[in-house]
Amino acid sequence: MSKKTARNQILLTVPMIVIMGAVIGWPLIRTILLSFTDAQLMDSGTSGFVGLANFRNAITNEGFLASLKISAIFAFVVVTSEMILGTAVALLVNEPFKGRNLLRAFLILPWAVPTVVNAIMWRLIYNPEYGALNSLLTQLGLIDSYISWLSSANMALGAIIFADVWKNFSLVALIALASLQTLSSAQVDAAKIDGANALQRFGYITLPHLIPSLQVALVLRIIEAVKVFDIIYIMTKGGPANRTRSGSIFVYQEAFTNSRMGSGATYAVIMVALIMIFILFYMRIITKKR
Amino acid sequence: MRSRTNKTKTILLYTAAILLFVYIIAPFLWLIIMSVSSSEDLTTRPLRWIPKRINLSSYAELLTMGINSRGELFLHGLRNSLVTALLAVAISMVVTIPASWVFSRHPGKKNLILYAAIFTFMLPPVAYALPLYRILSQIGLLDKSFSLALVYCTIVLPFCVWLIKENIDAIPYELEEAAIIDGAGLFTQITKVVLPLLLPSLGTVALLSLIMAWDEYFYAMLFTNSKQAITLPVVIANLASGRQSNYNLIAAGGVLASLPPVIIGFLFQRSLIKGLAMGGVKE
Amino acid sequence: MKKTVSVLVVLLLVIGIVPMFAAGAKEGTDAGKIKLRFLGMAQAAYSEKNVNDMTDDFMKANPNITVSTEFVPYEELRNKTMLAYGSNNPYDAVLVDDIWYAEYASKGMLYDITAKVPASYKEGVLAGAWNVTTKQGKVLGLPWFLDTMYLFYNADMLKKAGYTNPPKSIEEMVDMARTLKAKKIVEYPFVFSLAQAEALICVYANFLEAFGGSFQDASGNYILDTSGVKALEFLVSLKNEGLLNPNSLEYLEEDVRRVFSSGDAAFTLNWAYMFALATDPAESTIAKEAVKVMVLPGAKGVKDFAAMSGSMGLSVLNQSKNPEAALQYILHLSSKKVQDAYSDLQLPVWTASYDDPKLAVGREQLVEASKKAFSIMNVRPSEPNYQEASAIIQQYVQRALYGEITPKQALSDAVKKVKEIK
Repeated sequence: MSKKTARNQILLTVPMIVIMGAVIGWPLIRTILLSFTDAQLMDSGTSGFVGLANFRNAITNEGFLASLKISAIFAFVVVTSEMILGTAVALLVNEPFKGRNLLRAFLILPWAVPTVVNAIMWRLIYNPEYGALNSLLTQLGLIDSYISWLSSANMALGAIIFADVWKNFSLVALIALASLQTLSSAQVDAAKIDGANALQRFGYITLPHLIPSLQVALVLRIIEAVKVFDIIYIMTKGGPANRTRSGSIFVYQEAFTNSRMGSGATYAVIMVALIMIFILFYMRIITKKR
Repeated sequence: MRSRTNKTKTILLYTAAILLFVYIIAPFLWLIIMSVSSSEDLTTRPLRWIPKRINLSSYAELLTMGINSRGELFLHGLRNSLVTALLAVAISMVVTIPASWVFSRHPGKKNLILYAAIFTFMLPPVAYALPLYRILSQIGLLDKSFSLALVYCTIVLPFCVWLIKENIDAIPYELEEAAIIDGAGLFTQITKVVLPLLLPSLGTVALLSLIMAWDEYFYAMLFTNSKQAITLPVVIANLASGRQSNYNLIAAGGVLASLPPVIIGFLFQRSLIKGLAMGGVKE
Repeated sequence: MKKTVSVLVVLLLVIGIVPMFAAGAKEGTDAGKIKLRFLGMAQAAYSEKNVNDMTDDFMKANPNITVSTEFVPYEELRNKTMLAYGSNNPYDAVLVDDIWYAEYASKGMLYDITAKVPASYKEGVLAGAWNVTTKQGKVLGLPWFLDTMYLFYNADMLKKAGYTNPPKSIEEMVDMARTLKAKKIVEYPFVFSLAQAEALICVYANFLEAFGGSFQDASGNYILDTSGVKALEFLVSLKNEGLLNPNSLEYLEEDVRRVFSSGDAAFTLNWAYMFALATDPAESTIAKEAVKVMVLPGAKGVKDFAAMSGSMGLSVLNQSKNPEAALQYILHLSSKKVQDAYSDLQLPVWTASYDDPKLAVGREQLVEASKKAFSIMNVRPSEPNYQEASAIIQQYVQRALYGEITPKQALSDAVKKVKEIK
């Protein structure tokens, strides 16, 4: 490689590095620095260094640990459901039937609806008194009395998960469908002639073909799900009794509502570290397929 | 025997298809119905599924300008959302196209930056929000569409660099070599050879990024206040807060805010899906 | 290629639309004009429209001042105020809840107007109202409205159950509710705003008052673990007996209003604004005459009536570049003339307003109740850490309501946690 091309390469990446440094690198470093201080929201740099005190508090704070658990449960259930539902739907709309194209076209709808709108929409649907869900279930005779979806301690998180799955299963389905369309029918037919039943054909041909794109979908969804904030903040603000308070919401409250920037940053750093472990693990899956 | 299993299969297939259709359509259709119902229709028990008459007053309220009015805020939100999203996408594309080319053509140590970019995609926004707030506040850039767009680069840029690199990978390097032999410089090499071939996929990446930026709520909630920069998600989230119970108005706001991404989604379905699936689908 | 073209066409269209919006939104940018920013709250009273109308009048009278108003939900109001305060783009005037005055004052955010309040205001505004906005002898804001959670009840329902008089005590009210439930007149006689939010504290605080408890002792230590247990046990028993609408745990004030106005509850607590809306046929399906409002009765043998303040004031922020103009603006908003003109949803803070018989027309009971409430009103703790303490109490009160822990346990845990943050 000549010196000139080396210089050119650097030149071409400089703008991106500058932007990334300004809006990502620098703030991230500042967050890490803040996490060792007792900075308050409103003071201007008069904060004191407190060493690891914030971290010691953080790892023993029940509220924080509980919120991490909620993030983990949310991510696990949401992503698992979306992967299964999405794949099933992709297989379904890959079959020939009348109206298939219409159905495919509408598949993009949930994904296109903005998260905030999705949250508001489901909050209206779940409204315990005038929501469509209670009304529908009663009229179908499935429930006797109205249910408080978002204020029942055991159901609130589930209700949010259901809302999130509605929006995001479609992403998985769309990705899986795109991959299915590149599967040659000759291969499937050959297996058919060899006497493979539907289950075998799925297990030996379709699924292996799907796996790379499902991995992409999986990673995209996990990343989104572990940092969940918007949908919960709008639907329940973390209630009832903190039963739906995710890690991101916890950090937000600590830093902005309780005005403790320093310890808020600590919680953020711990969350980042945990997510990083998560991601490194999945990074290896992506790179392995190359 | 055979035809019977086929028949069961057909019935199952259509049942599943119909169920799926209802599942996809019902919630959003209900949102639309709510938006044209009157308050009274929406607070009776049992619910009135079909409004007594179509009531468009919520839309009128949101789309009519007037000093300090709700419509003014909504329309400003709409404008700000567009401006912010477009700016964020424009900035991200301009800086990532040359960089992605380097990552694609000269993989090596520099790919660390690529990984760094992808890595940032995974960080929760709360991790940057605190210092970003302080920095923006110190340099007087809070409550501005431009700075919000810069912040949105944290979301859009990693996504762009990943997808664009994948796309450049798919362009055979031989074409560029031919140009180099013809004496083309690096600039011509990229603009004349790579860019034209890249254009269709850039359109896709841009649309996907636009939808991502349109969707953003957290930063906008923190960094914007007034009608000069507030974005649509924040406007409608405020509209739907606990101390408002005009369900029809909230629903109308939701429908309007969904229109741009939904229309883009329907119009460019094929290319969007291809874009989304990129990196996963090896043809 | 066709696809590229269409993508580009759309992008161009979008880009083309933007300047149209921008152009349509261009405002007059005359130099020399004072620009003020006011942060208010998206609420029912005074509504955004009310405030904007008041603001228009102010701008007409003061052509050299432009005020732009912004409204956020109550839940964001404090955060927005504080975040913006430290920024390049602070507000000039803000709406302040009584519980925030101590915190804002401790951070030095509020402009001291002690010497600037006109005598007519000092004398004319209800004496108790100044307590809300005065901290350590300094007047830091103008009272905008005095409010409390009143007891609303549906007289038709009570009549059906054979009651013609309002409840005289908490105990009597619960007896009535039991009868209503037993006679199947209403499934859940009570509905309260008990979502995990400040509204829950407001409801709890009123019952705390009614049972003679208090948040803190004289030296500011939280003592809910002893003095607050009865009130919480009371709320829990309502829920366990099936007298309280279980959805209460996700409700804010507006949800509660909807339920009451649809005839699905006999008793509720809510702010004064609800009276006008509950008696408005466009907003309510119950008969106007059935809507009754009174000050919450106390527990038998403890006290006759109880009221906890939920008042708000208007303040100028220290960072304002035009504090005098901002003061002028909030003086306008809280002037007697304006308050009288918009008194249909929010009662004025001016003593003289109550002399005018017109004020009470059609809502004699509300005005009557408010006079009584203003004279006995107690306040929630006003201290720099209140918001966080409140969040902790909210969580534990909810846990007790869910039956996860006993009220006693909940409050002693809450007090322990609150002590940790101090």
